Amino acid sequence: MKKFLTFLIFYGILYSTQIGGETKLNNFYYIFSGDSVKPVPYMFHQFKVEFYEHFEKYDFTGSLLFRLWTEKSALSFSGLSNPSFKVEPHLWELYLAIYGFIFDNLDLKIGKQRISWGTADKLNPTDILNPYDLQNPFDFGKKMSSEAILFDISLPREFTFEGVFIPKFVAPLLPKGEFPLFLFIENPEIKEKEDTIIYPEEKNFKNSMFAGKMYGKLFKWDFSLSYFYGYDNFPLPSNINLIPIDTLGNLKMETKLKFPKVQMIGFDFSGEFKTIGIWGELGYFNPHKFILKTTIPISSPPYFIEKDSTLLKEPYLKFTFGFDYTFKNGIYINTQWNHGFFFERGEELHDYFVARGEKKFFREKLKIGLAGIYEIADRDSIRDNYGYGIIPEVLYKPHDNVEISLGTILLDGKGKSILGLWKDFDQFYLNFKVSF
Amino acid sequence: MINFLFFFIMLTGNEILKKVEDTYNAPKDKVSEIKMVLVEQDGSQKQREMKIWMKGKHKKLFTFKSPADVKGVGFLVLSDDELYLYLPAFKKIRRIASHVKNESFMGTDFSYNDLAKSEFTKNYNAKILEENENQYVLELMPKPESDVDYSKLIMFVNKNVFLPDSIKFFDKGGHLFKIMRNRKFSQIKNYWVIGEIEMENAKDKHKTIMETIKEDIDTGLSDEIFTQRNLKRAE
Repeated sequence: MKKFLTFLIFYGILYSTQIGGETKLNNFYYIFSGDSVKPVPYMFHQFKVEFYEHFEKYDFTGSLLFRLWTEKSALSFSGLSNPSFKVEPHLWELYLAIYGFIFDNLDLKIGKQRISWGTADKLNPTDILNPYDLQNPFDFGKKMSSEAILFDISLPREFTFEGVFIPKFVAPLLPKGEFPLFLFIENPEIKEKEDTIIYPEEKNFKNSMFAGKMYGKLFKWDFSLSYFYGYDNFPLPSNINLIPIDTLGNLKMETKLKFPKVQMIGFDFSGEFKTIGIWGELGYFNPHKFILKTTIPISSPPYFIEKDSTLLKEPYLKFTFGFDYTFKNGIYINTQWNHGFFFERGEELHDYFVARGEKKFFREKLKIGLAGIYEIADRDSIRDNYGYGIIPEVLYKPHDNVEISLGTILLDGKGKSILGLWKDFDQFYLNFKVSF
Repeated sequence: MINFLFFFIMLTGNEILKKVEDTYNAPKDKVSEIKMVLVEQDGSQKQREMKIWMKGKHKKLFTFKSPADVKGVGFLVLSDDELYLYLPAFKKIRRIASHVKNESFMGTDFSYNDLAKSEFTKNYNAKILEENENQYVLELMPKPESDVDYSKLIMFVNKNVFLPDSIKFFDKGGHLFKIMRNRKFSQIKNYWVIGEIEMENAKDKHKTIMETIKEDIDTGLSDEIFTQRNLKRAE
């Protein structure tokens, strides 16, 4: 199958009438790294080539993405003289879209594709069909595509029904190097760790994912109602074995991780009130009961006790509400309240208040933006559990197809705050993008 | 003969404006391939290519064909306050509230409003300032309930075709803001159409020239073209 897909994409690139793509040179460096300029561990460059063939009744689209990691800093002399590169190719997209399939009002899209749901800006609780691409963890909300069959039927009164079948679960792409995506409680007695991720069995229909969405318009407001049955994109520990490794009480932790099953009912809306743009998106998640079995040594020679804890059981609600406005002087503002970050679930949902302002100059050649985030990690104890971030950015487009962005990410926080967890990753970046 | 009769009928400013609007909106639908040239003060140029579908007074769909960094971007207008932008990089449609309507459209000298609207009579009252052999010169003042961002317009209406030769746009401070010049009038299926529109910013002298490369009129476009579903596939 892989050989066939590879043949298809190379055939498309060689013979398609429309070929394009982009090159991104990313440079993310720690702000506080002593005397030297040191790149963050997940820094990568990217090259993407895509083709697109349009016919009257169908489209054929595909793209290949290559990510390149330099294992030594490009800014250090040793890194330049002895660079060590690692290239990872990804079949990013490959799908066939058939318009008017059997009936005029039925469209079908088969293949590896991105299916984007939700009306909010980047922080979309209902956009759960595709796996996350967290290789740049600060590019919130970035997603990969997944193999799927999608059909949509246009219905009377401008309503549309969209049905999705995803035969196989795909895990997210995680950042390279040491990046603490989640908050772990460190135990000084644990000296060794071993993790095994157990993926859902591929050729089992029970492990496929299904979704449906009805969207349309009422009184000039856009609404959608959706349902999803499948897997959460982030694993949880299902088994932890703590094994003594010496007589001093030090332990080895063996962890098995599984992806929890979940159902979601989603709702979103967007519209405007007195020219102010308003949107909202809610996901009501009903997880299957997820139990963690922990084996703990109690004495020597080692005797063990087993303990079960329920990690997921109760339904929970994640949402984003936001508005945007452009003032007469051209300053654009966009604010959102997000309850439950993309990887948060269950009872551990934090609140994030995000505000972004930007102004364009010289016919959009130059854009200056400033974003701020405030996180409440525990509503009962805000003073000890909060985080904040400031992200200023300057984006310059000297020519068509060329984009240079310069900015910093400054984060801090206390207690259970996720932004606080990432505070050691304060960084500045200088990125170049060329489209062709 | 028709022109001869108008001399005796003595049209009012609002009647002339209505005739201009009717000429603009006469075709039932249109599909146009457009070349847009952005001309800097120093003469350097940038080029964009678009395809535009139009039906009736309101429904419009724009898709960019070039340059590469905006290729596939789509813009759908269903009414004054129903605007949608499709961003192919995110495979996502975003509703745009009407606060952006007076902002520049993709870095050009046209605002979203300039491209979305062709309803002068809804927003302006017109009076005749001057009349010569070839043109009516109209002053258009915004109606109290309109949401336009201009304090007034001076429209130079071509008497032969009842389309503006040019329009001067004045900002809220009463200063000349933009000048639109229409050229290359031609007749397709008995409708008068404009072959080239130039919009010049009076302050920095930046210009955007929209040239029609190909135009098909009254082809019986379906309403299905002007839907979010189609916006994604017009890429």
